[in-house]
Amino acid sequence: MLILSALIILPILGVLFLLGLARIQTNLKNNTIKLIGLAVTILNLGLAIFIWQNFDPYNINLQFGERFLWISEYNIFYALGVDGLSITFVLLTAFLLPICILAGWNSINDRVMLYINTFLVLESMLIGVFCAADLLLFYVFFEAVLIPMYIIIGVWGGERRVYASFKFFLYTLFGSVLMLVAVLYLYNQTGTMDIATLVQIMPKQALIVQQLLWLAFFASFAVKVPMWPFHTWLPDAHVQAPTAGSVVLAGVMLKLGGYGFLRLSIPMFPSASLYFAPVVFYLSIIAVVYTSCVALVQEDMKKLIAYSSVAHMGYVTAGLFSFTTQGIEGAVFQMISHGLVSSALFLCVGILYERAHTKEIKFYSGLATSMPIFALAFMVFTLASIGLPGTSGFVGEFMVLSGVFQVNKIFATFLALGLVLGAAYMLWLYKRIMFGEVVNEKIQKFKDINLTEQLTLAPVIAIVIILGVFPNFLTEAISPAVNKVKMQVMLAETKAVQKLNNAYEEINWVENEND
Amino acid sequence: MTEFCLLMPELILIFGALVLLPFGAFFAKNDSSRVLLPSLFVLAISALSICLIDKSKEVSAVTLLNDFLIVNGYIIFAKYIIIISAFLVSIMYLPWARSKEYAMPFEIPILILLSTVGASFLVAANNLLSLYLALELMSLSLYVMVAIQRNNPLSAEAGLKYFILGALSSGLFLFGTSLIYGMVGSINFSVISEYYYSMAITYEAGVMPLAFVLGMLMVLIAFFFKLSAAPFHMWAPDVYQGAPTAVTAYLATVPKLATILLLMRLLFKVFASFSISLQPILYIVCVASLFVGSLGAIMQTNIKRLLAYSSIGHIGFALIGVVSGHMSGVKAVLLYMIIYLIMTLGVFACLLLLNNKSSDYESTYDLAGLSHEHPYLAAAISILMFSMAGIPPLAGFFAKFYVLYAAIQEDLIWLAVFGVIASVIAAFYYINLVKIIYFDEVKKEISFNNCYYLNAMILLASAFNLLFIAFPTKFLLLAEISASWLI
Repeated sequence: MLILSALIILPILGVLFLLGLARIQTNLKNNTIKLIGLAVTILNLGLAIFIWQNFDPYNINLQFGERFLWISEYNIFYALGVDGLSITFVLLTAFLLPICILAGWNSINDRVMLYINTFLVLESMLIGVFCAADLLLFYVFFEAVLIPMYIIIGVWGGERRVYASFKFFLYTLFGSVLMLVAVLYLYNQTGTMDIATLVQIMPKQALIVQQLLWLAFFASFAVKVPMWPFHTWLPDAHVQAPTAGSVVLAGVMLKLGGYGFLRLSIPMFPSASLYFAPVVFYLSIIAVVYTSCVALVQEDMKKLIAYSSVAHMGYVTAGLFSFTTQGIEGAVFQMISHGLVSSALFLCVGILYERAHTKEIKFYSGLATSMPIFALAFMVFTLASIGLPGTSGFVGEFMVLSGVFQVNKIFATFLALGLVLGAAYMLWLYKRIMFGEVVNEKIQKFKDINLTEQLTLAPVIAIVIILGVFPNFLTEAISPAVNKVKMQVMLAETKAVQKLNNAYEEINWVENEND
Repeated sequence: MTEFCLLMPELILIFGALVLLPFGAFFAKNDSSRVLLPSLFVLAISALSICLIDKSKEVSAVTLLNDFLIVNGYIIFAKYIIIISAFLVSIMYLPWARSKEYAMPFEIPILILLSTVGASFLVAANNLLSLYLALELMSLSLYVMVAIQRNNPLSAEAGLKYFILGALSSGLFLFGTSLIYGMVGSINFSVISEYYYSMAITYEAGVMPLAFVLGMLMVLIAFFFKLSAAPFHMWAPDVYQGAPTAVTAYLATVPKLATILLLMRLLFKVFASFSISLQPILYIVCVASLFVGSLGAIMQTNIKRLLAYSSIGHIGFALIGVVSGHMSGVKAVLLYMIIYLIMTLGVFACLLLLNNKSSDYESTYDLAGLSHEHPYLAAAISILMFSMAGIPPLAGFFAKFYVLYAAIQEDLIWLAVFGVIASVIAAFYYINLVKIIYFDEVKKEISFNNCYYLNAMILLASAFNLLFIAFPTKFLLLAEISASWLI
């Protein structure tokens, strides 16, 4: 059964169907196009849920595998497969895409055909990244994502969209081409691009080789995550992108980096990961504390949420490189949770922007009086972003903190500081825009969120709370895969310790001889 | 008789050119499509005749006309590419031939035929004399084609520039040839190669006579001129800009293909014993081309000048494969050139489509907002641009992938890193063009006559770029078979 291929190809078929339809029927209405796009994405979500239903969480191997010879001379395969990690991200992608199309329902009326098509292509590429079991295939999808995203930011973005889209494209391209060289080097050394095989072979390589390759992969993933100081493209891209663009960017594209670390960097180069873990920790702490402080002083709502994204992703990287079960699982959970929460926050900002055409915090005050339902929804996401127990945000952050605490208590303390700062900027934002006197007359005339907007927000609220109350729903699927990664690192660690012991013994032996 | 058979493709082209010349002079003064259509026919027949040679028997390196020319699997492959690309380019001349406003002179198709003969002899040359004759036949036809719009000062300037620099490079080539002849005492490639082999055993690399190195170097420089590889690229932007767009399309494809195919023969067959001592020069040319190609284009607003720099960059990338040498390198270069050919043809087809009316679309900013009115053309141009930038999943990525892999196989990691850095810089101007097409507002009304042939060409090129990912091995296999003749 080629069910994963179907998942990737379905959106492309949607694009072809739309183009064909436009040929036959020249006066296609915008709403028809959007409806077809929505139908395709929902169909894909259904397919993803079907896969999730048939997924066996206790099997640590890749499931629903497909393997076809792709480049026969070079022994490269078109290989797909999902484990507990990838399936959750596939689900996240499939879940967010219909929401993206709904988010542009009212606001996008220029080149709708292109809009829907780029999102469909984007969905296909993103799912491809998470399903790829071959390194080259992974790379192809990983970089192909740039094209639709570039178009999305550039065509429907804000005033400085050109600058933002160029910065986004070139920044991320630069990171990923270094990874390409590393991929080619890996392939030249091992003769295979199969990720599962590479995971077995690469840990045996010399440390220096691992370190260099790790750095090349790091260049790519750190830009995508984004880790401080490689995050500067993110605020620009987020602020300028249209709402749906921000949703995909925050919801899925940032996760590509974390997923890459977990799928490639850590299992393939465990010794190098151990070696560089302190660096990642320091960068994560700076990301959490510094960008939270930066978020405090933002005057633009989207920019504030963008900086908070960097801070939240700081937890992810810290959790990943703690190499504890709680830490890694928490990082994955945090990625999913952040994907939902920050996407929803961007949706909320989009809803306000549609009404007032400004993202300035100063402009808004006392929204709770004129938009009570919206205020409630925003409250849920604010609290989830802070990490209130009962929301998905809490589970992720708590697990990450407990994981890091086992490794280093000081680091954990600094990370916890981020929680306080996070509460500060989010609650302050909430207070400033929702409460207080209604200064602006326009705000009194704002209508509360309509049906489409409710439809976009309601599923996210539901899932955020479900995940907060029943985290097992996700962790059950994640933990076998996470344990596999953890074992890989522990193996490398014990080997290093053994080597050290052997060396000590040798020294002792030599000393004894001398005596 | 075998000689006659093996020379069939070129003989058909020469015969066609000779018949069409008087025919055109008498009957095609006003309507040059009367010459163009037969010339297309001649090219097609010629391509078919290679097919016959290919099928008739396993050709095992046959020398022809007293060692003047040689035919083997690699050369047959090269001739295929050259003649087919000449055919494809000629198709793109149809709208020009039929336009009333600025008629195409009837000589153009004939010059294309002659230049193609030159290119196809060039790859088959087996001694320095035939090499020179073929090179001149190819180039002289090009000089005329570039300067064909006598009333346009830019065109005249381009022709003059191209001719003077071309003559200079020919001079260098002859000087190099005389040095080589002086040392070896023969102009025959097999003799030269054997002599070099014996010399390489006698001398340690690096301490051999200067005349050797100098001779080889000058011959190589002549070819770098033709390839417009930096630092011998100065003519390219002016000539690309000045020449009529259709001529530029020919200039960017056939001569470059022929030259790089020959260059690989020279390096891996004739100078093989000394190619290690030539390596540093190749490194310099390769890296310089990469960076001139990517940095030079950033400030360009003229599309044709931009494409000139882009082609310099592409040649730099192909040279990475040449430098890596060996099987995978040659294979990668062949594949790279095929993909480069198709991308370039697609882009020029788009330009020609836009240039169809009296108003020229020369500045990149004339394309502003193209996607509003012409979404399909805009999509095609963007696909080609992303492909040229080497973004997966398009064909351009795979071209770069194979070349970089060849470099890494030879432990040239630093070169691969230079290559990818240059490609990121180059990505800037490719996506800048996409930005102009998609993000900018419409500045002036864009209108053009739809032309069936050009549309088909654009469709084919963009479909090839999109679908290459599904069949990445088809062309690789072809390249591998022909590369096996060289190594």
